[in-house]
Amino acid sequence: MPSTIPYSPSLTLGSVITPSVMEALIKISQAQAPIDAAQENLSSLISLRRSLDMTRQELVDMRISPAELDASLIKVNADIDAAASHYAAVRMAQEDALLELRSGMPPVMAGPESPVDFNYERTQIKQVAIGADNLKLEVQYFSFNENAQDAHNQLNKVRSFITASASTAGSDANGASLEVANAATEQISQQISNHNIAGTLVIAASCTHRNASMLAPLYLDVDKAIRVWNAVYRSDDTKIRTDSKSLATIVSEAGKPEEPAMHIVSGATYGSSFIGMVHVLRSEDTTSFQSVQAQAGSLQASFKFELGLAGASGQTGIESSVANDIKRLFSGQQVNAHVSLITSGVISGLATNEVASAIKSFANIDPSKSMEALGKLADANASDKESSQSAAKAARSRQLMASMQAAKVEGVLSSLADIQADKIKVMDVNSLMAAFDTYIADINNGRCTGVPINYFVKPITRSQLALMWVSKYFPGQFDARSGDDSELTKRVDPTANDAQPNPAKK
Amino acid sequence: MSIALPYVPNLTIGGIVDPSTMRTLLAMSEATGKIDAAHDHLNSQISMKRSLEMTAQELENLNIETETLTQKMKDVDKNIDLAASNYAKVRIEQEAILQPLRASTSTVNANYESPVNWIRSELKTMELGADSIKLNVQYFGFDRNAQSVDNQLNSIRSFVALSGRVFGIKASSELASSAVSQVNSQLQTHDIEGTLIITATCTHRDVAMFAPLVLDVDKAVRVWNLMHPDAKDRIVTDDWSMSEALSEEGTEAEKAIHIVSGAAFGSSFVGMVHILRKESTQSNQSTADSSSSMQLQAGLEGGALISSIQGGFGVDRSTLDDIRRLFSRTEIDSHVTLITAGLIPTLSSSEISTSIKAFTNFDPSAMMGELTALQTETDNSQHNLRTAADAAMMGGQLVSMKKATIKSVMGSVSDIDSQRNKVINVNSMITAFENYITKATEKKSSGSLLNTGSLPVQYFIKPITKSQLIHMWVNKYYPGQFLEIQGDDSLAKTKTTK
Repeated sequence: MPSTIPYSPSLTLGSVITPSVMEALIKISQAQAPIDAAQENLSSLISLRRSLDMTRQELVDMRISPAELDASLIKVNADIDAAASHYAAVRMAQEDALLELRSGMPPVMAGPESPVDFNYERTQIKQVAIGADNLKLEVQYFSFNENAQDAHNQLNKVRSFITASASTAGSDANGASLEVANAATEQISQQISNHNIAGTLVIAASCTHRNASMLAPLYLDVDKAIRVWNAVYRSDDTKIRTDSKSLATIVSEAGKPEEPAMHIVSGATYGSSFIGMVHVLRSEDTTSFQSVQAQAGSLQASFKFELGLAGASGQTGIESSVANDIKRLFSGQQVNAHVSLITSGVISGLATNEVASAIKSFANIDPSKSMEALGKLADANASDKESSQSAAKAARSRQLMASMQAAKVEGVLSSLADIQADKIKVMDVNSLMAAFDTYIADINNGRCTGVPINYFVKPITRSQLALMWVSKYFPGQFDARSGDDSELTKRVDPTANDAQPNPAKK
Repeated sequence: MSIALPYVPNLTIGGIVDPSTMRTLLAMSEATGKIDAAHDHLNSQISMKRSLEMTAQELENLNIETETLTQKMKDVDKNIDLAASNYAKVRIEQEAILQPLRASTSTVNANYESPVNWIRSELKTMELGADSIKLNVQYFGFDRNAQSVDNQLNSIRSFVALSGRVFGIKASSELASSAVSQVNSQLQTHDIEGTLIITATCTHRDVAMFAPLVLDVDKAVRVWNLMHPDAKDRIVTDDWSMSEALSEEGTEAEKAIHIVSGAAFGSSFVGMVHILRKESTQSNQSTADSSSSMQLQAGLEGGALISSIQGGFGVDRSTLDDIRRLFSRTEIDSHVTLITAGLIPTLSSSEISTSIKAFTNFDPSAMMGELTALQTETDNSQHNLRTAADAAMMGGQLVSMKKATIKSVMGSVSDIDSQRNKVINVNSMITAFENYITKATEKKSSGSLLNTGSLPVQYFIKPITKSQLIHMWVNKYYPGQFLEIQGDDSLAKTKTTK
């Protein structure tokens, strides 16, 4: 639908028109028109389809069988598809043409000055409501926010003992005993979180405005104008020379087809446009893995033999305790934003929004703190092993079964915390939407002045300048011909003087 | 009314009419008119059907036989269906005609300067027209919320205790296990869909006219010459050319330029919003905790060489496995088109807050903290069991197990990342429409020249002939020498002001 309204800073009110610039501008606008028409057609058909859907629903509610309508809907669907692909085709073809045209429009230009007399408020800008207010708007919005979390926690504890003892007959003194006790604890946590936010917004709006600006009254400064003319027309046969012979030739050409003219912008109606696109993609990933293991084991063996005079006894014991801790974390955040905004006729305020960074880290990655936690686990595990040992002892010595004591479990994993609490300023979907709100508000409160969409072109012929020159420097000697509005205002406002700037006027 | 009123930006009041532009505008208007007629026809039929249904109801209440009416209603039904499909057909046909016409009207144009004298002329508004509105609104809203939850909690405890003695070998074994599992799965979906299509066209009573309309003859002559580059059509201000041009006055051959001297106004508002918002959250949590212990004891007593052998073996194992998974997603799609002609309403975005779900305590340390509590609980319960087993073995009598206590370790789900999204939705469109109606009816005391809509729906065209300009030129530069035939309202102006 709407496209950016092309504008060239060389075409201001009162300026001399460079024909190539005006031509390029109109060509750009003409190249945009088929794109706009194709998009408008597509939007119109989509709107038709949505409207017919609701009509169909209404018919069904009224218990009318929409057989004919259903048949038409199939045709509408095919047409929408065709219109969408036509839009793509037209736009691609026209964008190629536009690229060439836009390349020929440099942002900085130099040209002849305006021949309009802006001194002492002589030439005024008058606002007249001769245009019409129109708005064409197309907004497509898509946003999604996705969060996935996955955690796997495991907690394992194993305790075991083996014990055996044997004693010889008749004597408790002879015998051997063995005791092995083991305790192992393991805590594993694996965690993945994934948070994605994506948003796309395409806004295209264009307006035309009812108020037009006219240079009225328009005074020409004939001396300036002749100098500008001579800068535009450089050959001897088109220049203006103020000797009587040349002037007579020029005046005799008045109205003839061969008479050259230069053109200035004497007024304009205005439009404005707002074409914006935002795509924002933000993804946050955190993966963490923690595993803590503790193992404690003990072995004791003893024997004692008394065989008459000979005897032997021995004892051995090993106790080991191992604790192991592995932590791994990966946390990443990525923000991609692409914003493009072209406004014509108004400069829209565009603000950024803050995005808080959400990078995670282990809260206590400090070795001494980790070791402390690990020590705690090893201690708990060792006491588990002790209870397993005492159960073993009971099994060996007593007749009755003795149970191991219930184990006490304590979590020793680290928690995750945000680090780097940076706030990043990003232009996102909301920024563009807010800018658009401002644009519409600006149109309604008159802050939006617009860019010209209709240039009113005033021809200034060579004979006109020659006659003006004669009237200025030889007043009353020849038939005066008005070349601008000075005579008009003289009648209305007798104090105004067309020939000499009048400092007393203010 | 189903599509916007056509407008071509280079036709301005006071401006020179380019005949091909005017032809394009009128062709666009003709196509638009056909679409409107088809749509009006459909709306009229629907409205008749609704009215007839109520009449039928009324007749029934009056105990009047409605057989003929019921019969006729079937025809009406068929007509509505036909009218709807006809509307679709006409619109597609006419859109195909409109597209190339729109493609030929560019936004930026260069126009000949208007020959109107802007200082002396006055653009006046008068209430010569009539206010009218044609409105059609279709709205569809759909809101659906589905929630499903599946929770499961299992707890099982068992023990086996055995002891026996055979030939001096004494053995006993004990097996106890306790298991708890907690499963929770939740699914929540919330969909909101809305479609709004508003079409309105107004005509306004205000008519703008140039009164007085004063032409600037010098400007006009120069513009004329620009528009008529042929030597024979130009205005050359010498005696011979002028008298020849005057001789053409009123003949078929006489050329003219046309300007828009006034207009009657209308405005239109054609908007469509479609918004779709989907939220879904799915979470699964399962925790399985089991704790078991096994002990074996054997002893042999009273052997020949060895008096006793005692041995034991015990394993005590507890495992806990916990899996949590969550997937939450929100999506907003919106498509808005709005074409207003003659008025620009205020349109502002509305805020929609979306939120996405996450586990509340999704932190390894916190989760493990909860889980260890569960395991301690399960272990204790298993320990109780063993005591029961011991008692059973010893006393030979049944001892009841202690009651198990179960603690929930399921994580709760809550909103994170609540966002306020600025979106143009159905409410924005309705607000814009209200603003349009307010603007279309309000009377501005000052400021803008026109009170209401500014889209010309009727152009008043003033022809300016070559002879007219020559008369005016002669009157200006040779006053009193010839018959002063007026070409504009300049005399009227001076008379009224004096």
